[in-house]
Amino acid sequence: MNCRRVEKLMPLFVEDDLQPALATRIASHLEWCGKCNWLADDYKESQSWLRASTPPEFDRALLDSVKNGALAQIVASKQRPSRWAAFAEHWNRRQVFALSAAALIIVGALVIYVYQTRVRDSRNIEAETKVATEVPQVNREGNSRD
Amino acid sequence: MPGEVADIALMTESPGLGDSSPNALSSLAPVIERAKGGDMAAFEQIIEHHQRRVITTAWRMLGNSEDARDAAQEVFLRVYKYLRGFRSDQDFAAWLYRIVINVCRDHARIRSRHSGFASFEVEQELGSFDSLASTGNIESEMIQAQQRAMIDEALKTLSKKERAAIVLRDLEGLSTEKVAEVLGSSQTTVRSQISSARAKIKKYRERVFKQTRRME
Repeated sequence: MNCRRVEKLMPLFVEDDLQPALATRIASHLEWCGKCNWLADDYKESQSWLRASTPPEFDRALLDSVKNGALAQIVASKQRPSRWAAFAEHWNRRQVFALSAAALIIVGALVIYVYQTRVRDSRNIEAETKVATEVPQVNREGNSRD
Repeated sequence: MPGEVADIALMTESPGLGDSSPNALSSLAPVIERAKGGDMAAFEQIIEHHQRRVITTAWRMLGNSEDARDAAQEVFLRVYKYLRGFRSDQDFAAWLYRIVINVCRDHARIRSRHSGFASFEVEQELGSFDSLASTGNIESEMIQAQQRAMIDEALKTLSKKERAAIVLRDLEGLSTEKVAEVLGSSQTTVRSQISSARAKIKKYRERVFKQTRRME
């Protein structure tokens, strides 16, 4: 294993993130390679430095504020009416019925309109294709007369 | 490059050190079931059990305690909202970490949209721990805060995914397998991110130490 490859694998080697066979090969390389040894030390120091910083000691007051804040928001969200409830609040039953009926009529009219348009289109296409097939026959007849 | 990817794919698992020990989780399983059924006292117990870990992870992801507190609050709101969808055969700690990472990513996105990259303020950090500073050693607390600021700066040199991977693997002590599960990536991708992150942190540390020596 050459130094370049060891260098690439070093960040994982220092934290035992390598397959044992690969780690053994790097370890044997480190036995004789001074340059890679320095690199390993640098990585180890860097990792210790990263871990040396302990997070701040979060005191009871801060933790309580997190807990109470979350619980208060949950309670508030429970008390908040759902979308349907908020909708129903503004509309009485008769209005909802009228609105539904109107929506049903509009949708029905749309369906009929679309259906009729399609039927009309298909009839037009049929007529056009009929004309297109008849015209060459007339020409042929004309030619035969000449 | 292909050789490198193959090497990374060949790597093995190291044991996880997180708070997802089987004993802790099995004792919490009935509590989770009760909370799923709408028992608020059980949900409060879940918060009590995990809040320190959640706020610490959020602090490591965001770099300051105020954002970490807000994020932790949002995490528990989402836990409550989605708890019914949690299956008992799932790993609760991994599920929770996934929410923490998602919330922190959202917070960071909003923060960067409003005010650019937020900087870690030593004074602010010290100010929020007045009680500690007054009882303990102010000087050592100041050094600690400075070191935290430096590490936060080092973490800022990483991409969001690299930061999440290194926080979970090296600072939270999760196994690579768990990190991959939390981040929804393959283990090979996570190892590649971890490798790159460690190299960047080393580079940052060397640069800072060189500058410090020059100034001295």
